[in-house]
This record gives sequence, structure tokens and C-alpha cells, in this order.
Amino acid sequence: MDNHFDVIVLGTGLIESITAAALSKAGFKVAHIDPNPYYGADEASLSLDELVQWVNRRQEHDRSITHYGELPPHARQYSVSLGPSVIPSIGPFISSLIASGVSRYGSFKLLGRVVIYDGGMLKDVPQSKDDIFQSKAMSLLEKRRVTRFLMFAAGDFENSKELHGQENSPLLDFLHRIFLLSEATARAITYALGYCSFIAEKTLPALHRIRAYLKASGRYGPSSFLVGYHGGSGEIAQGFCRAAAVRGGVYILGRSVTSLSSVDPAELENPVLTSDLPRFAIEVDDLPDRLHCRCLLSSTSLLPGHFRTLADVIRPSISSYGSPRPFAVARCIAVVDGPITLPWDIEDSGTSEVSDSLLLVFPPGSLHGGSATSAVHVMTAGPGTMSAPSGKGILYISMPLLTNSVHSAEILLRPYLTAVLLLFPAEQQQQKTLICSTFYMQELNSCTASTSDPLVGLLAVPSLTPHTTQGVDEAAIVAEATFRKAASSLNREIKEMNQGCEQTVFWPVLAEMEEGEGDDMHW
Amino acid sequence: MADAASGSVDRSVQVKLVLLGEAAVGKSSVVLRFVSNEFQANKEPTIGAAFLTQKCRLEDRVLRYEIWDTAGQERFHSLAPMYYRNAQAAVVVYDVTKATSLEKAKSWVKELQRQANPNIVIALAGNKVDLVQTSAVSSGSTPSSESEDEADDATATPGESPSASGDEPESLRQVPREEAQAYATEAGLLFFETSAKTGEGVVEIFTEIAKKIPIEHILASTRGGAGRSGGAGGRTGGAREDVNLEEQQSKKDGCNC
Repeated sequence: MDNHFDVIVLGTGLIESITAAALSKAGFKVAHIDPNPYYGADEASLSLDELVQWVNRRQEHDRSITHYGELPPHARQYSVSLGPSVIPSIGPFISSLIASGVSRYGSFKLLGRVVIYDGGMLKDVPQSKDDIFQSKAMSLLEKRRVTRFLMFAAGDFENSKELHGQENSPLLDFLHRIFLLSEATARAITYALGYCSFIAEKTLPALHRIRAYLKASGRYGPSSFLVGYHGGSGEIAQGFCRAAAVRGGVYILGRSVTSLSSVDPAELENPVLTSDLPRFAIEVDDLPDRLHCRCLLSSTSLLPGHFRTLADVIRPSISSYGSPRPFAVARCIAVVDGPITLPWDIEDSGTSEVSDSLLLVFPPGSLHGGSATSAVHVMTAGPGTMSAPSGKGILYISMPLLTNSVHSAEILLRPYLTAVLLLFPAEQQQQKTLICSTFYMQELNSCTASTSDPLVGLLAVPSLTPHTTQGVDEAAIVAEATFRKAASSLNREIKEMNQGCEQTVFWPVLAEMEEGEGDDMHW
Repeated sequence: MADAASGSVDRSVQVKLVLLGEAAVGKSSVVLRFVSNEFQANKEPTIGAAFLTQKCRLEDRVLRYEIWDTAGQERFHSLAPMYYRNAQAAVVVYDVTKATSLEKAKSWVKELQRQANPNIVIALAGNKVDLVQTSAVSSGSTPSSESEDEADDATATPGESPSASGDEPESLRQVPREEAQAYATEAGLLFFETSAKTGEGVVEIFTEIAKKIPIEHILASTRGGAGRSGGAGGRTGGAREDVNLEEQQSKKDGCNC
């Protein structure tokens, strides 16, 4: 190998990893570097001992992070996600998983249940029309109204008379006025079907999400969502990185970039072909040689300040169904003793296995002492997705915030943790025991306006929007946009590579060879 | 036994087998020998296949090995845990002419025993044994194809100092067979010395692993799950309701024949 690459990618978060796989599969020579000793960056899956190390490192610069409890036995058998999320069964992310072949590296199962806590009690959110008809919680009239709304939301609502002029009104308001839905039903639809993060979110983007999730239901089963094994996103990021490596990508983990500079062509010792001139040089800890590349693609957080202002920041148009981008997310990761189960409030639909993967939604204002403006999501994981050893469970609590909070994550989330521990019944009616818990504030790099005159080949990837249902789809959309920008900055010079093609395909058709079928394969 | 010709065997059990070991010990070459009965001198560092499959017939049962190669990610110690997490078998390879590669192999065994499926069957393979056999020793002055491979790789991997390969043929072996055998016995591993170049010991690794794989356990834990999902035989051992993401895409892919 020489040290010249087409692309160097810094950071192994989901967006960067998908992009690296796509670039590598498109035939570009990729080096992928992460200063962390693990894959996945802010979406990593960590074992519990790795999580404790992560907390300790973070405490050096973030005093507000708090951690309680001792490391339990079998700490390495946990896969804790730093970016817990579910995967919509239809959408850009799952399409990328399948088209790239990465779905075969991982295991997935349906999200067990979606439950909403409102009016002081837990209710299952119907996953299908049949569920609605079987529900005892709603009157017949209300069922008719809900059904009418669902038909509307699943259809071509863009030009409907119902929506006309209402696109920007708050969804809750729209549901009351236009579909005459009760407060409880409207809140369930807003927060547990449209997954709005904040009060007064606009109707149109929320309708886009509802339609997408209604369509997703039934593809693999009743739930619209899948969950990944071993912590989900972090594991999947590893899968995309493997896909890149299989195509020749070089992986360097656990070493920081010590210097990064743009290359002045005049200073090169051996100027080669003019089309092949590197634009950037980087030095990596412990590597004697400099690495060169023509395109440098970095997560914004890993770019040194002066480069950040020179980079082309990827900002694709995802506003059509995007929830507002939060300023930060208050997070809690808690490990509990005893399996996570919830009592059913509707008749058992015949599911043989009680899933330990569920999503519990607290709408704004639903919990005394909780947030009045943000919806809080609680995701659970356990042995069902091989995320915890037998008999243990993991709770992820997240609260998106639109502005800087004066309170710590612990102050914001402690009431929710207490409530959840009471809601999940333990054996002999005792409260579930907490093994360990971590509270922290995840701040997101704001998408500042990039320069009007960016350095050619320097691309900055914003941090992933940490939305439970929509985050991974956004990751795929941003990754595709990043891939296209990188490919066009590289192909500008190598015209022959894609002669006649207007655009490089994001995922080329999987070759038989890659799928490894057949016994007479070439190595 | 490596039955490449057999067409459709419905009762085959899929086994995920991962290769581990230091860069340039010949992991890919061992598999290439097993799957295609080939040996390529000057083999490029691994590029290309996500995994290879090879059926293996053993008395009344048929195993379908899904063999995962590291894709070079071990080079900067960047192998993802996802790679070996659900493996039912592992072949940990070292190079008999390089003592440090056995140390690396030992650390991989440790990692597997901590992190992987508890029923995993691990085989330790001391490769490049052709280099230390009498015929090879007598012609030791000409660098063998495999050590060229190593040199290739050294240039490909800045930061990793190339092995100080002994120039004198007599001193080529750095790992005595007895030492590795004793370690393997102590750690509960299958043990072989192999040569991907001559084929010695290669088929035996996969046959012995096949004999040791707890097939009933794998069948029990995949029942009801999608056959294609790489990760059977987990900790829980219970029935898994995995979703095969490709099921709705193409019926053909689901049949897993």
C-alpha cells in the first residue's frame, strides 16, 4: 500500500460508516479513522466496562455527567447503545441495509410494543387497525374517527381539503379541530404514532412520518419498527465498516489525528499525475507515514476549528418529515435486575414470546415533575436482542431539548427513571432494583452555515439527529448526500470512471460473489 | 469430505466460522486451500468477499460453513466485535516462524472466551509449517511465497514493524510444536499445524471442528428464526424470532438452499 487514498473518513458514526461503505463499494480507495478504540462514535454499542471507561473519559471535560452503581458480573455481556433507536421497516435506512448486504451481518427483530403513559396510566398504542377495533379503551365513535384519520394519513393528504391551510398548525390542534379526536387520542397519535418530540410541532412533517410508519407496519410483522441486536446502531455501524473493509477500505481505530493540513501542490516532492494530486495530508498517532487523500470527510466534531469553517457542511433537505433538531438530548442509561416486562392492558394478541424490546412514550406534561415541553422516550433492551445477559434489562431514557438547560440530565430524568421502575413490576411486587445508572447531556453540533467558498474535497458531516424513530433514516439520507458530494469531487478529475453516467449509484447491485453463495466461489 | 458438487441438501446446518490472527499469518490462504484447494503465491491482502461458504459432509450430517475473513481489519487492531460475536467456530491462526503471532493468537482466544458465544469451538492453527520442514529448510535461502506475502503486507501496513524474519533456515521455526500443543490442550482448543501451501492439515481443521460443533444446540436455537441470519447459538438458547430483512424483497433469497 502506498499512503495515498481517494478518501479519508474521520469518525465511525453511523453516517460516516454508511458513507465509507458506499464509497468503498463504488471503487474508491478509503481509509477510515476513529480516535476511539471502538466503532460507532456517538452511536456506539459498548459493553458495560467500556461504558464506565467512556464515562470516566467524559468526566474529564463534562462535570455534569453522573454515574452510580458498581460494575455487575458479566459486564462484557452487555451491549449498551449510546444512540438507542428503532429502525422503520420501510425507509432509506433499511433500504441501505439490504442493498449494501450489511443486513446479513446483523440480526434484527420486531419492536415488541409501543406503550404510552398518559393520564396516570400505561396504554398500548395500537399497531394495526385490528388492534384499534379490539381496543376497549375507545368508544365506537372514537374508533370511527381514528379510522378516518388513519385512512387520511395513509393516503395522498398533500392536496386534501382537510390539510389545506393547516400545514403549519400544531398537529394536536389539527387532530382536535379537523378530526374531532379526543385529547387522549390526539396525544397518542401525536407522540406515539407521529413521534413528535415537542409540543406544537407542525402538522405536515408529522403527517409524513405517520404515513411512513403506517406503511412500514406489516412489512415484517405488526410493528412498524425493528430493533437490532447487540445494541443496534453501533453494531450496524460495525457492519457498514466491515462492508467497506471487504472492498479494500483500511481501518485505523483508537488513534488520533495529530495533524491535518491541506497540501500545496507546489510543495509535493514527486508531483504525479495532475488528476491525482492529494489535497490533504494527515498524521496519525503512532503511524510513521503521512496519509494523503483527495477528499477528506469528517464528522464535524473531529475537525479542527479552522478547518470547520472551511468545510462544506452536508445539509440535505430532510425537513419534509423532520422533527425540529434539538440543541441537546438529556440521556439516562440504567441497568436493572430482573427481566423487563409490562402487563398487557389489551387482550393478548397471541404473541408467544414476551418481548423485552419496547418503546414507552411520555408525552409532554404527562409526568408530575417531568418536562412540560418535551416528549420523553424510554427504550428497553435485554437478552431478547442479546443486549444483556439473562435476567437483566437495560433502560434508555432520552429527552430532547430545544435550548440549553440549566438543569443537569440527572435532574431532568430522575423522575422518569423512578416512574419507570415503579411501572415495570418486579417479582413479588417489589420495585425493580437498579444495578447501575448513568446520566449525561449529549450536545449536538449545530449546523452552522458553512462558508460560501469551501475547500474543494473537504466535507463535514453533522452529528446525527438523535430521534428515536427517525434518526437512522436521516443517517441514511445524509450518508447518501455525503457520498454524492464526495464522489463528484473525486470524479471531477477521473472522468473516465463514470463516463456517460450522470450519477454514481449509491449501492451497486450486490454481486453474487459478495453474497458468498455457492461453493465454487473465487476467493 | 469437502463436498462441493452436492446440489441441494435441505438438512444442512449453518455454522458461522471466523478467522482470527495477526496480519499475514496466512488466514485467507488457509481458507482458500479449504474452499478451492488452491494456493496463490503473493496473495494480496484480503479484498473482496464478505464470506465464503463451504459444505462439509460428516456421516449423517451436513454442515454449511459460512467462513468470515477479517477483511484486513485486524491490521490496526480494528477488528469489530460484531465480527466474531455470533460465531459458532473460530480458527485462530499463527505463523510457526513468528513467535509474536502466537502471542497474538492467545489474546484472540482470550477475547473469544470472554466475548463470544460460550459454545464456540476454537481451533488453533500453526500455519506455514512447510517453511520449517526439512525440504523447505534446505531451500531456505530462496524466500518462500508466503514470506513474500508477509513482506507485501509489511509495506501495506505502516506502523507495524515487519517481522524480523530469521535469515538462517535452521532458525525459521520460532514456535515449537510442543509449546503450542500444550497451550491448546490447556485452553481447550483443537490444534493443528498447517500449510496452506501444501495443504497439510487444512481439511483436518474443518473436519475436526465439524465433529465438535454442538449441532443440536444450533438447531434448537435457530428454530423458528430465519436461517440466513448469521448469528445462531446465542447465550439464551431460546427460540429466536429474528426477522430476515430480505424476506419481503425476494422469495428466492429466503429459501437458503
